[in-house]
Amino acid sequence: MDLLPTQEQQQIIDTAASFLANEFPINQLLGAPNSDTRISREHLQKIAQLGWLGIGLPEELQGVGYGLSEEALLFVELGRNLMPPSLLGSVLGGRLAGLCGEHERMRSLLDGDIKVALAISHPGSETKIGKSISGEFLIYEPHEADLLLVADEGGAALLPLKSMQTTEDDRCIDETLGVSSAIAKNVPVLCYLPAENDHLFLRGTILVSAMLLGIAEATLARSVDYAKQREQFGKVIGSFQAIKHYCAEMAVRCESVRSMLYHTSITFQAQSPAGVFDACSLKALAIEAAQYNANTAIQIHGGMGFTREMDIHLFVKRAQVLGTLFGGERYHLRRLLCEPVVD
Amino acid sequence: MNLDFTPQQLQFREQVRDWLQAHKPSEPRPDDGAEGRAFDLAWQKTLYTGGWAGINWPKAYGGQGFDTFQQLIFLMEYAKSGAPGDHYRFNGLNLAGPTIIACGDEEQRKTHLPPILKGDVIWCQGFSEPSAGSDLASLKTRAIVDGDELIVTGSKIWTSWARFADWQQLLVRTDADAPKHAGISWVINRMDNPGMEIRPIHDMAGGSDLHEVFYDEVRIPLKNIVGGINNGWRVSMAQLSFERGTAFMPSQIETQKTIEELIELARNTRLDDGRLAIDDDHIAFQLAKLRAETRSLLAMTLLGISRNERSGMPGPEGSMLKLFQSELYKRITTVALDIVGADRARLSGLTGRWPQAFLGSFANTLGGGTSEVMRNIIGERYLGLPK
Repeated sequence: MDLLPTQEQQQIIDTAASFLANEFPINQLLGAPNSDTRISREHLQKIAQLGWLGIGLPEELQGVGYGLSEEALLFVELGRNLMPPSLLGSVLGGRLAGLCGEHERMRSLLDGDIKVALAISHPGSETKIGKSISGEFLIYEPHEADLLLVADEGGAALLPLKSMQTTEDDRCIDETLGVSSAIAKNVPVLCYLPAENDHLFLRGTILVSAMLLGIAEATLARSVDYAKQREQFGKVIGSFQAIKHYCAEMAVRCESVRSMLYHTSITFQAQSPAGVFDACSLKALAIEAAQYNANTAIQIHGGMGFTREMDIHLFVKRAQVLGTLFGGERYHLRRLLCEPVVD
Repeated sequence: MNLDFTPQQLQFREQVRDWLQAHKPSEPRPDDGAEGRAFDLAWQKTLYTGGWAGINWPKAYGGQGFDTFQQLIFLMEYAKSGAPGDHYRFNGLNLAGPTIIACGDEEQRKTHLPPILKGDVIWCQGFSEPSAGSDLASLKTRAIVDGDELIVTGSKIWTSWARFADWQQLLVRTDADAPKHAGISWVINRMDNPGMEIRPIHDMAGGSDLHEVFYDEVRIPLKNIVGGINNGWRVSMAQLSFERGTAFMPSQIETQKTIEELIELARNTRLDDGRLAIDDDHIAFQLAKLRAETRSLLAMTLLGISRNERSGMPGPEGSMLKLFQSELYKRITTVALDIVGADRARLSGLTGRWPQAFLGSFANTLGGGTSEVMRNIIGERYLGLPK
């Protein structure tokens, strides 16, 4: 038993962190409203060349051959660096296509030739996901997207974005992403994978939780740095308990979610009965941690935190968006309560 | 990252399980202090005879010398088996004993460690004082060197089970002129030493396990100083990291049991509007959140153990666990009151344990370092924020 990353896993983390900091510095996002195209096709292909999009896919499916743990570690770094959720669309889409036996499509997804947008059921609308889909959906990052990934507890599907009736791009709470609505009436999908074969919805839940952890950790780190520098009343504000205790609360949330992410990536991969229990617990905790930490970080940064000159607000907004993907807090808490006790 | 146990470890788990099943006491622990003491000591003797006492203590002093994973497995199985909690044995097994192992000399180890494991003695703690609570280092109880003895005068407070203890780990000021952290010594004191007076404190939950202890020129041999004179602060800091490390593992599994029992209660309790408590959204979401948090407590413990195993030393992360767990337990008991509704007024009967647990829960975020002290430690030692 050793819950910490191995040396090899730590290498994945370090490589990802330094690549992202060099290639996609967060300050590029400042003052660039609606940069839905932050990841151009060339960028996506460059990321694909690192093998990231197939990191958790077995080698027989032309993946890198790592498991969910490595995939999750990568997504923590993507979340920390505010990389767009469509990368999750590519990873899950590639897996879906591969497991459905559509190897050509899988290859172009893993190579980054195709952009996959994520869609969720519109609140209050009855949606049906199967060999065809119906209902009203919210689509994140529709701009230049080729395919759409939809998933629920029953299964997951890929379909061409063009086959849906989409509205004009709407303004998204997260100005670095776009959002639009789409209505589908029995639109046939390209491929559909029932959850019995591979639970893509819960895998997405775990990977979004990893991105939320990245946000929780990034906002803690920024707050601690700021609290060590900013002086008032002749002292750095981090010496005041009011600020110090906020930071301690943020740190506890990071520790709790990181522990749960590691634990869940193992139990879920092993298809242990605890996998679902852990995934639902994880998502609820990750949403709370990311939102508490990002929101508190604004308060710690004071008036400057409220401006667009700093990047904290981007984390606040992204935490809200990620919270809606693959089931929100209430969804997962309700589901968790229905699960039997685990050891 | 893995959660796997080796075949040997799994076999060890079976052994622990079987032994506990066959030997754990069938009758509940008596509430009465003297009877409780006798029960605790008898159970410790049984553990010792069976070869399960001092699982991580060196064999030379009667321990088993098990590694961290055997220790983890033992503690998990122990808690699951429903065997008696540490109760009065807590201090000797988790604080005084490990401190003497880490910082004591050979004579102190040989004298004091075996009796703890054999179930001959109960230990208690004399750290806090009326004017030195969270600011422990400002303690004033004076110890003057007189020949080969210390003469101790002052008072201590919050000493658990003092009137049922044989020995005490005591912090005294041996140098009044030194800076406050540099003039403290950690000493071993007999509880029947002349010049001591012990007064129980009656707490808000109906218990009287806490005490005030007064010292009027109490004589303690110099050889009872552990870790060197004026070095007591460092000795007690080493100790507090045991307290915030694996020592709380059993109570974490206890927390898991408690939340599951509470969910079961909510499935069977009707609210005043006639619905089952579990069908009330507000209650259901709170219960689910507590269930998720309790689950992460287990994961945090496993991560902490993995970290200690690699670094060889418990770090300040233990304070996060202590903070998280004690605050969580408090929230659990508050939600319990919501579920039992007006029955919260009754401390007896089938649901009486819940309001009783609520009353007792206030101790969790005070004892062993308040939540505020934990947040200071996390802020300063883990995050590097200035004092």
